[in-house]
Amino acid sequence: MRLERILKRVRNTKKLVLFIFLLFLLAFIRVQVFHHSYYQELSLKNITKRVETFAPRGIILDRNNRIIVENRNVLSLSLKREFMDRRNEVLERIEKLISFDKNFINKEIQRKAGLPHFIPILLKKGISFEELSIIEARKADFPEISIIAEPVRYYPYEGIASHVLGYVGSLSRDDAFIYNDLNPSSTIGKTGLEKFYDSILRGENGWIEYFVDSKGKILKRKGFKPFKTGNSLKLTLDISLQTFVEEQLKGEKGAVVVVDPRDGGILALASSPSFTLSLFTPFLLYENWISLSLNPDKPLINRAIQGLYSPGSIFKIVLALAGLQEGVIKPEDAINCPGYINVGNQVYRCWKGGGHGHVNLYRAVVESCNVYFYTLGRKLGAERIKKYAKILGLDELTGIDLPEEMKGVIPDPDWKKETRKESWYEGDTVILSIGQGYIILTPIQVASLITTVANDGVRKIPHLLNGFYDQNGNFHGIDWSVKEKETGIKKEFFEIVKRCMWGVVNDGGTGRASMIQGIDVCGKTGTVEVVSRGRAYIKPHAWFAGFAPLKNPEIVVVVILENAGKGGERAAPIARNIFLYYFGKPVPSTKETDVKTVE
Amino acid sequence: MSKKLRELDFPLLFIVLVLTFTGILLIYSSSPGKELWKKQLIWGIFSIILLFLVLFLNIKSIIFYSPIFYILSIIPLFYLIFFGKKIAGSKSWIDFGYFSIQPSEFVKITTALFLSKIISNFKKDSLTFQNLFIISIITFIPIFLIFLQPDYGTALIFAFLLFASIFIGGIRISTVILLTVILLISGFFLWEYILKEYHKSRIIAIFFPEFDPEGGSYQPLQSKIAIGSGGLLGKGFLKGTQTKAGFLPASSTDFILASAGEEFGFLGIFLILSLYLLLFMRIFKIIEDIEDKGVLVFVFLTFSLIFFQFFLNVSMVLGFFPVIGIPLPFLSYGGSSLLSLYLGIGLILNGKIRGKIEK
Repeated sequence: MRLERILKRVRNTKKLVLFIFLLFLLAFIRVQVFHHSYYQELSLKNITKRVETFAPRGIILDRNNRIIVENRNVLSLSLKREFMDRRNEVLERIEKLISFDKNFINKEIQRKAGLPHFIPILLKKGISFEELSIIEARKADFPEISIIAEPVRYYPYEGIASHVLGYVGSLSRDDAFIYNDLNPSSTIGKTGLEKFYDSILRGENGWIEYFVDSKGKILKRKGFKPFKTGNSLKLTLDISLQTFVEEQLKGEKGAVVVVDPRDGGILALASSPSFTLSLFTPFLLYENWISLSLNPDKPLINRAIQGLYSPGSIFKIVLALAGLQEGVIKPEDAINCPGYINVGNQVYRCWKGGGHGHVNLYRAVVESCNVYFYTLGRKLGAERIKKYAKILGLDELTGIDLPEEMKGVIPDPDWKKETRKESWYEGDTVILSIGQGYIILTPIQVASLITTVANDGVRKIPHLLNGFYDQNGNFHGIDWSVKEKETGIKKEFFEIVKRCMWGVVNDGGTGRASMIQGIDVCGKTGTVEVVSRGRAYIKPHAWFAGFAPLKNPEIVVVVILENAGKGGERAAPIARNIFLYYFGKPVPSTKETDVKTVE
Repeated sequence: MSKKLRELDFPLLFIVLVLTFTGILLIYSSSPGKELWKKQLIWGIFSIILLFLVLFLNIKSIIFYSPIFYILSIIPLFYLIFFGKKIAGSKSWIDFGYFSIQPSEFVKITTALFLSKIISNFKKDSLTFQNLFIISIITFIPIFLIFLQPDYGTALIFAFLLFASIFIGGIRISTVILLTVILLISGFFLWEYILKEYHKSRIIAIFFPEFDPEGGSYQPLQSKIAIGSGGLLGKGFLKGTQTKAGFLPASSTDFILASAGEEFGFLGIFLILSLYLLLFMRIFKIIEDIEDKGVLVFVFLTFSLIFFQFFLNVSMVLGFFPVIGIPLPFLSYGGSSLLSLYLGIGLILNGKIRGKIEK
């Protein structure tokens, strides 16, 4: 082999080497100069970890600034995400020390599947002090586990006002679409005021950014944004009255609404049977959820705003106002009640077999004469009855600041044709006149009606929020009066109806069980026959709706008890107790069920 | 000896020393809290001693006795196959307690010596099949043994060494075609039966980097992030976050250039590349003056060894080549690699001094 040949090959190699260097140089220029910002960003992303800091929700105060909902820290066990792939082994080890809810962990893992790697997986929410000390003592054995403290709801008045306050929970899959700006582990209001005023209560989460290494270990803090605590609600609710009302309802199925008619502020709103909110903290156990949701008495339903009941004789108030405003009746005009009327070939009876004889409006309301109102209703016709129900706000939601409110039904021929595919008969008008048949209303709607009556025709929005305190402690009152409406019905007609309602309680009427010495309680009872299913007799629903005192009313009370009996016998005594309590008078210790009234 | 010392190629020695020093600096920065740089410094001192010791011998005699060195250096490879302990997944190191030695690094030099003896004795200007067979056997023995360790990076360097030998020995087109067929067939068998899934995923990742971001292409991506985020001037000495926070894999060894790119930017990379260019150009210059065929072939093969490692490492760091475990000559941490490089450089320097045919 000749030396020159070899040298020639070496020289060729030299050219190749120079060429490769040029290529490398270009490649580095491309990455380091042209794509610098792209890689710069990736490099920052690598080392930065942002952890959200959760803002505590605002607290909730009653009208006297008593705390009814606040926050307490609960300790939770969580698995650091970098140990995700070892979770089964870690769980097995810890399970020897404390128990776990596998269901909860699986859901949690599903929920956090797509999230950044440093967000921990919750293993157990709300560990006890004993569990904490067990884990703390073996901290060295469990480098995969961290204990985090987070604020959860605490209810000083346990079990009281649960429906009104509502519960909180973590974002569900469906919620995540609505609250798409929220961290998936955020807590939101699910029902009641917690839901309705969620945006006020929630506050704003902050974050801390850390520098981390490739294993997710925190090296140092980079920066932070402090969280903003949520605003605190001040309610119109009086927690002691609420507590009293709930005691009165114990053992019954039904609802009570207590409203201050001067502004529409709700003093108490109770539904029975109830539940305790502490079941939901730190989270609802599956078995508790099952027993709550499968309970035939439906404790989760807020009957005060979701319960739909025929108003019965309470609706006679609407008839009376309509008749007076339309000029169909004069207060002094008497109608003869023979105990029944015939419409077509159908007989409609008054509750009093022998009839009331000649009754004017006052006596008809006081004694709750059906025939008087049958006659009045026929004169008005279904359309005009509906018109006045509408004017009085009964064909719409009251606008109470709770998310679950349901709307009742005020039937008329159009409604019947549309929903029932049947025509309207005269008999439908007759039974509508005494608030039975297709008509259904919620207790809050009835309370709203009584409030309007107490205010001589000014419709006020029943509400729970008085105002809120911002983070600086400044109070922002809510002016609900801007939503007030005039019914347009003459004030004097309200005066007449109020006088009648006074008579119901104080002039030997059906509501005499609500009479209180020295206070002019006004009211109207209602007894709603329930269509019995099967052969067993089912007791009627008992209504009482009233206010006090007659002059410058301060309080509206609506009571409904499901399948309890007659309104005057069952609902009126409870209303009386509430009036007594409100006016600071001694309340009899046992319920007065021996009062004899008939309707 | 003083006359010989005057003929010592100081520029080459200087470049090598600067590279080594740069390496120690980069190791210091890329292995926070560890004392790797000190170890590398000690290895460096031993390497320099070795380099000067080699100058006392005559390179022509070394090439003459190269079969003996070749066989002696192969023995530890057999030892490793049977008695070696796996360190980081392969049986490449012999542990001596305070330090460990990677025998395959030295086999590179002995094989180059043996090949240069054989090639320089070939009669024709291009290789015959017989020639080709002989040099293939010489290289395939270490390739096979190293592949079993397994250390694919080093095995690959030997494959390149064979390629360089064929190139310098000269080859005809017909032989090239035949070799291509053989390569394709053996490549097929390699892919189907020998390469493991993770090797394949690495190779696939070169062509389809968007495939599986946390799998095979994680390391090249982190390497590019390190280099790219360095920008023009770098993040500054000891300030590379990719390196410090552990996102860059093997930041003191295989990916040390990425670490340099992050902290010193394109400027640093340019300077380092320039040093290598100077190194290679200097070796080319030395080759021009060599008259002895054996020495010439040896210097060329040693150059090839260093250049291939450089070329594959830089390609790997840039994400052009799968992550296969090839250190960057002189810069990457590793005692055996440094010793063997200095041995090679020492022999090149020796070749410069004694490469002339004495008249």
